[in-house]
Amino acid sequence: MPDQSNHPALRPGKDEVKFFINGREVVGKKGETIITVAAREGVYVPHYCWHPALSVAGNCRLCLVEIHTPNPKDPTAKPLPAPKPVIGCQTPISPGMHVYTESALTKDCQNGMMEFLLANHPLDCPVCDRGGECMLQRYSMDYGHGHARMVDKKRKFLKPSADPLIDIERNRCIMCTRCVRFNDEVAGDHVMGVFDRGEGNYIGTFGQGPISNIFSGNVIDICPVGCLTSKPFRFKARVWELLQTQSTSIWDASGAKVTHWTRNGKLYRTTPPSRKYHGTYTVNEDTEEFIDNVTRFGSDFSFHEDRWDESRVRVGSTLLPGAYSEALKQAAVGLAKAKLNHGPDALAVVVSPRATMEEGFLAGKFARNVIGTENVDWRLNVSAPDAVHTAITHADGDLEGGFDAVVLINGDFVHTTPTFASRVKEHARIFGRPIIQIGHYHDPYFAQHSKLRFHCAPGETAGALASLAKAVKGDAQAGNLLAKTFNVNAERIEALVAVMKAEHGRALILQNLQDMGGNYLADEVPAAIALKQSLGAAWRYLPVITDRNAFGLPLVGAEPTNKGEGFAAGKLVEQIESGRIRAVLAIGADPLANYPDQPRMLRALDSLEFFVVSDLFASEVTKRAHVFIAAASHLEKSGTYCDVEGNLARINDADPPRGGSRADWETIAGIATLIGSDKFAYKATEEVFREMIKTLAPDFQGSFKGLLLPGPRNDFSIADPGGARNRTPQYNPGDYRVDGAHFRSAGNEVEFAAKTPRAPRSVPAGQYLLAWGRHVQGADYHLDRASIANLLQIPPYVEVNPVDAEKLGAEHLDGGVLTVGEQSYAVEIRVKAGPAPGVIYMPLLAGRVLARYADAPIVSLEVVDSPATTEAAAH
Amino acid sequence: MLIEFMKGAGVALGHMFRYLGGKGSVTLEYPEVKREQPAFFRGRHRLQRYENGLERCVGCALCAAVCPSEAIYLEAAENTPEKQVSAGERYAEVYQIHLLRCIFCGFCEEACPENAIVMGPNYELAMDKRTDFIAQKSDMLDAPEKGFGTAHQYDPYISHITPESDKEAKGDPWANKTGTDH
Ligand code: SF4
Ligand code: SF4
Ligand code: SF4
Ligand code: SF4
Ligand code: FES
Repeated sequence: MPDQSNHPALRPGKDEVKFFINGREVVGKKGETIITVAAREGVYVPHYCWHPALSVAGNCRLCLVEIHTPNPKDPTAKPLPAPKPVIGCQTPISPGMHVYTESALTKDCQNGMMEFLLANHPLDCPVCDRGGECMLQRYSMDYGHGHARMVDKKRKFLKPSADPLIDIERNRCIMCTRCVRFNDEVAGDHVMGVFDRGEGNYIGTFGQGPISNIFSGNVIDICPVGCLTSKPFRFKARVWELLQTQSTSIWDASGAKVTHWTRNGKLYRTTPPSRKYHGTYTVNEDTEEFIDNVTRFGSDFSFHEDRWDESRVRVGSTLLPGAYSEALKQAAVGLAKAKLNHGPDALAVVVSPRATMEEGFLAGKFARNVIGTENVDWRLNVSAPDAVHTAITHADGDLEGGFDAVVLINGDFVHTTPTFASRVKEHARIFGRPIIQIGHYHDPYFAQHSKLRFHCAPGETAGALASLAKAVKGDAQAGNLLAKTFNVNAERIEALVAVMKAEHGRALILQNLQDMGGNYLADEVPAAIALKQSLGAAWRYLPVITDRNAFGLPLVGAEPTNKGEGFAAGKLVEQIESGRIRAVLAIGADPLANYPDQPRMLRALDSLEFFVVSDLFASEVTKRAHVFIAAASHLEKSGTYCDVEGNLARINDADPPRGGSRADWETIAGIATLIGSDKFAYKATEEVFREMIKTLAPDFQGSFKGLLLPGPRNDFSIADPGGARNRTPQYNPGDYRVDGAHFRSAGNEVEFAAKTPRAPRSVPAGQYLLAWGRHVQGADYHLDRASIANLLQIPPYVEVNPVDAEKLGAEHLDGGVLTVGEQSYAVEIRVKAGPAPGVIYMPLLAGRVLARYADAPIVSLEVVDSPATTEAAAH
Repeated sequence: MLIEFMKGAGVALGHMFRYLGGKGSVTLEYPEVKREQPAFFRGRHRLQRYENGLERCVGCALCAAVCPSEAIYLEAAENTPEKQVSAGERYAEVYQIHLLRCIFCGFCEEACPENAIVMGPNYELAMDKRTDFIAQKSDMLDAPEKGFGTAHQYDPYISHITPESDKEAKGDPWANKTGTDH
């Protein structure tokens, strides 16, 4: 549950309730339940169905506790025992109540409940993947009988094969309904349910279908027993054999923390961070840090067969494998020669958006101090780089302490930054905060909790935001204009203005920077920032973007400072073609990722005089390099990332670099040293980090405790089940957050000339405007090489507003053919209230295909009923 | 003195002739003759099968977890209806015991929930190459023609598994997957 201790709605003192747990006086807040206060006070109450991030179901009865309440006739007399034990997870605390979590009655209840839960349990722990981190195993040891009295035949279910990622073994289910509630409440997808009655009670998905949402993998950790387990990890290893490394996701800028579980140099699974429960580090208990499926299942891309783990130098037309030092030497010589011949500005350094801050920092330092150019950028694949820069440098919001209202501008937040979106939704859901959605696309993920939703056509959002700023100031004309843009009546606008105007402790404006390839960002970003500034200090601006280190790299100087004339990474091809750029050093960056005209880009790379790439894989790009330097993957290096909220997080090396590969920061420092600089003598990332922070925040006083640990890991080895001989350094997750210091640059006031909403475009009947965004499950240089990429990358789909669906005669999950220009795509049609009427939303074609459209293209959609036809068309 | 010598020689000769006669001898004509070992002898490991030929080991790795000298390494895999190796859903695809590391403590045998790994009577542990000391699964698996089960298999002190419970639980390898169809 998000920490609300500093939330204005909670009045300390007034809502306090004093009561007793096992004779000790404790203080809770009114409305809290026994189990939450007990957990805070360090008293453990066993539970299955209760989960801190989910609603209370109260069906496992394992948390039964004995309570005594004060005698109403004589409060000074001995408290009266309650007639029955009560469940701790649902019973609110009351003043003077005595709770006994270890009394004979409580123990008897726990014992009895364990026997009931085990009555039908198959007890096939030897073949159960949960073995070793199972709450049922642990509670059996702590609260159960040592023997079974069940003599009858046990109930057995057939095994469904509904989901490609999650294995369902119903015999082991204890019907806690955590998975059902998780999907309903956190994933926002009502896909699982409890079926049948009585003994035949079982868990399943509706229509035997898969659990196809981006958070579905979390049910694996949420399930306290071995009913829901991971298919890719199935039977691969036992959890106690694996080495845990705390790290962070590299997939999107939400900054989810993860644990990588490795053995013998192989990644077995990635989970939310493991925490210490009862002496062992486990993930199965009450993890509240949910991760998306891409992070969970896609992180093993570095084991792909395309991996080049030896550096290569071009000899004639071939890249010959050789020593790392030789490759560095060649790179240094080539870059120095290019500088000598064409001047420093003919060189460019491009950095991957997944580079660590240390790498970005060194790339910037290298370009400026060693080469003497401003040609360094991470935004190779970012459309509208200037707008993104403005947005990121004006970001000042975060979720710490929660919010009273939130405005979402345009976009598919849940597929851009999944875990960040889930945190926003969790807060809004638990505390009932209004979510306002504005723009041509509303994220259906928030639909349940967002009453105030205003659709406009693509391109009209900036004007709408400007009118909204005026309407909040009381401009009636702007209100009318707004009503027209949104096509709603005046009352709706009044309701919107009322929420925006209300007294807020903290409110957020969230903007999606991946929307429509940045086509409208040049207007929309200033409009959103201007709106925030006009609303007062309570309002904060928080843009979101998928690129993992988009917030960290600008801070450390991995961007040109001479904006305007100069280097523009997005225009790399043009600059190579015009002969301005002659040599490129690419650090993990994939120039092809988003470029619409691939052959043209490859021709440009071919024409380069000198091209050095530090990368993981053999690819069309790396094969064109003059020097290829084998890079260490995210599992093999350490470094720092900054997330959308401005928090720093660290990746830690789970393994040493494979083969002859090296971390990118070493490579940059090595080349710089060879060229002749003496300012790059680093021995570890920590040294780079210290120097970086000194440059970044000279007067920063906070602690970097968590960041500077050599990587909290917990290596109880194969012979140490349960970690009895645990050599784990104490690891406090709180340390990960840099104490109170958010890394934000202070943005200047943004002047935004109020735009009149642009005239609606005329769209021929039966045709639609196409909107698009980015989807973390779409094609990606790294994700393409994950071992189960085929299961993670979902087939193309379009979202259609119910109004249009009715006109089209389309039903949810029908097949369809989308025609954009001359191209046709077989798609799945999803009927969702996300896109505005008249707009079709298609996330997966983003990038390469759609990058050539500066405005929303006009498209047509044809419904093809049979899914078989769609399949045929797709191949 | 001579008498003492004669007495002593008489004892020695008496024993010699008795043993030459083959009665009461404690040494054996090893390697032609091998000594019978008691049931609790902890010799070389064997992996057992069920009578229907399926392997008992389900690759749970509890033996590896309990082994004090980290001598056991295994990788598990999933049975399929086409390739049914063990009587559970999982089987050990790779199962190795490093006999140079093993201290013959018998913990693996005790930890095994399926009575799959047992320590047999074989005490002949000489090998030519170091690598031969890493016993592979095929080296330990009882060949079907050798028959099934040993004294250890149903030892009540070691396991709750009995011939009866065996038949009931494992007669049908997919027992876990049949029953009410939902
Ligand atoms: S769910 Fe837990 S108790 Fe049940 S078989 Fe699996 S490990 Fe054993
Ligand atoms: S599958 Fe797991 S989480 Fe879902 S109800 Fe059963 S035990 Fe609970
Ligand atoms: S006998 Fe002891 S040392 Fe040898 S493999 Fe078994 S558990 Fe390990
Ligand atoms: S031998 Fe026994 S303990 Fe070892 S993996 Fe096989 S079933 Fe498990
Ligand atoms: S935890 Fe209270 S009833 Fe399940």
